[in-house]
Amino acid sequence: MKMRFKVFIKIIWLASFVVLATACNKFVVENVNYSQQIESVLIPDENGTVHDVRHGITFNVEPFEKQEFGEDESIEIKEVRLIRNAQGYYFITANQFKNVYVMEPGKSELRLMNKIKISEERLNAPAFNLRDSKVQLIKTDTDEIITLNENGLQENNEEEQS
Amino acid sequence: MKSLIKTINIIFISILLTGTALAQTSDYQVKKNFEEAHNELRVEIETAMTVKEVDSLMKEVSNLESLYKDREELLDHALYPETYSGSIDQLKQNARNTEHKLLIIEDKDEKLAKLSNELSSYRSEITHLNTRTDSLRNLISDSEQSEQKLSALVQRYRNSMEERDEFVLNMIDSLFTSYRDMDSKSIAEIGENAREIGNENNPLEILQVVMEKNIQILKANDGSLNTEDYLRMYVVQSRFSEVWNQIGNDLVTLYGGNNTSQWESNIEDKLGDWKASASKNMWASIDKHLEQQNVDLNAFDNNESFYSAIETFISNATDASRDKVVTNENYDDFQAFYDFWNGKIKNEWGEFVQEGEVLTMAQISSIDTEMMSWRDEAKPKSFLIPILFGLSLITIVGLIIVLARKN
Repeated sequence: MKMRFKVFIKIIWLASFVVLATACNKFVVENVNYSQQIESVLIPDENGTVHDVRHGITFNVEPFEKQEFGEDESIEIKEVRLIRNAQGYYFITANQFKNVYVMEPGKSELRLMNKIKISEERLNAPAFNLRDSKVQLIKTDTDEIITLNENGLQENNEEEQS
Repeated sequence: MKSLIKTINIIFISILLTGTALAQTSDYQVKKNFEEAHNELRVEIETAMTVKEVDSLMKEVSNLESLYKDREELLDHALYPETYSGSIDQLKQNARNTEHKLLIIEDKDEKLAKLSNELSSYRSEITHLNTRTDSLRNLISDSEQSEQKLSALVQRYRNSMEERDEFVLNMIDSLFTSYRDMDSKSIAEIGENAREIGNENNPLEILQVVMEKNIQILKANDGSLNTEDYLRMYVVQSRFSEVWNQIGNDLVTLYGGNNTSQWESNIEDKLGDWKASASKNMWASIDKHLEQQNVDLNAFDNNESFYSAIETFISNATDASRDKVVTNENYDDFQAFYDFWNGKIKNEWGEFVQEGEVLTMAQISSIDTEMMSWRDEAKPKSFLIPILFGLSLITIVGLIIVLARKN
């Protein structure tokens, strides 16, 4: 009986430790807003690497080139545009792209969350804005505004003639 | 015209870029357009050449401010760590600084133009006065006219010299007033423009002409001038040297071009020559005047030796007067020197004696005191009272004797 009681006490201690450790791992700050108020326009260096000094991110654009243009090396990205929404997803596009890439940041990586097809035609002078915490893609050649979220195109997109 | 075109360009670019940015509604493009317009204005402000141009650019800054006012929040984010209002304020501050700088330069330019005009008029006047003086001197030296007419010519020559010297004094005083308050920054600012002044209006040239002319007249020493003239010329030289010591460096920096050290050396040499001639003639002339008055002083050729000679002369004369109490001779000597001292040194030449420091006020005061002692000693003593007293005494004694005998 005495022996069982000792084992019981040990189990309780162990359980308490596990609960406590789990509680520590779940320390979370909520309602973080990652949004970038203005898009970054980055020019790749000779290796295809872009640096956003202000927002602290560096990555290579070649994977995006491959995604967009396949093996066609005649098209190269002269500048890449990215903006981050409140949830922390990066929205990345460039001139001549047909898509906007929604990338989720991970440990030393950007993982594709969504690839939003904007049109069959290649984009000409796209730009991102952030309005009311929502990412907008501006097709500056047509003044068309497309609202996006990490899941894709949002409804109520409107054409705006400024 | 150039500034107008620049201003129109800025207005056009600002409106075009801003208008385009607003149409595209790309925040990044708004930021980029603002930065481009801002930079363009900043450069234009930095390189503005006139106050009018800066005034126009200030209006453009205000236009830029109005155009982007409703994008202030966006620009505050975009321009971080700068802010929209900070950027506009910086432009305004730059414009104010540039305007201030240009105002100073324009003021200096005006001042320089005024100085150039003054110098031009100085040169004409100096030339005119020199020509007149030269022609009078030539007339005197070539003259075969009667003594009366020659005397009138000499008087005209002396008057002309006096007028010329007075003008030179006014000119150097005016130069001193114009240049004394210039700091090194101002000199540097107007220095470049000053180099454009032609030789004929270069103050250094004018000063050199003045010095050369004076040296020439003093060295000629043709006997037409008297002690008062030489004293005045000595004072002009002293004042000239004094002013040169204070503003000479600035003038050489401003107007010496690439030969500053040569100018400095030339003028210093001429000043030295002028000073030596003016000093030699002036002391020699005083000595000659004293000789004519039969006042025999020890040799003198500067302030100290002149003072010492006078002091020794008075001291000796006072001692001699003390020894010879019966004659009037010493009092005549005193009177002759007193006339020279009071009539010439203190009155007729007084202004030049003081200004040229031929004698200082302290020296004059000390000699005055010694003169009083000499006068007391030299004054002839009267024996009338003792004689009258003796006669009275004898009369009284006589009366007493007569009265005693009667009794």
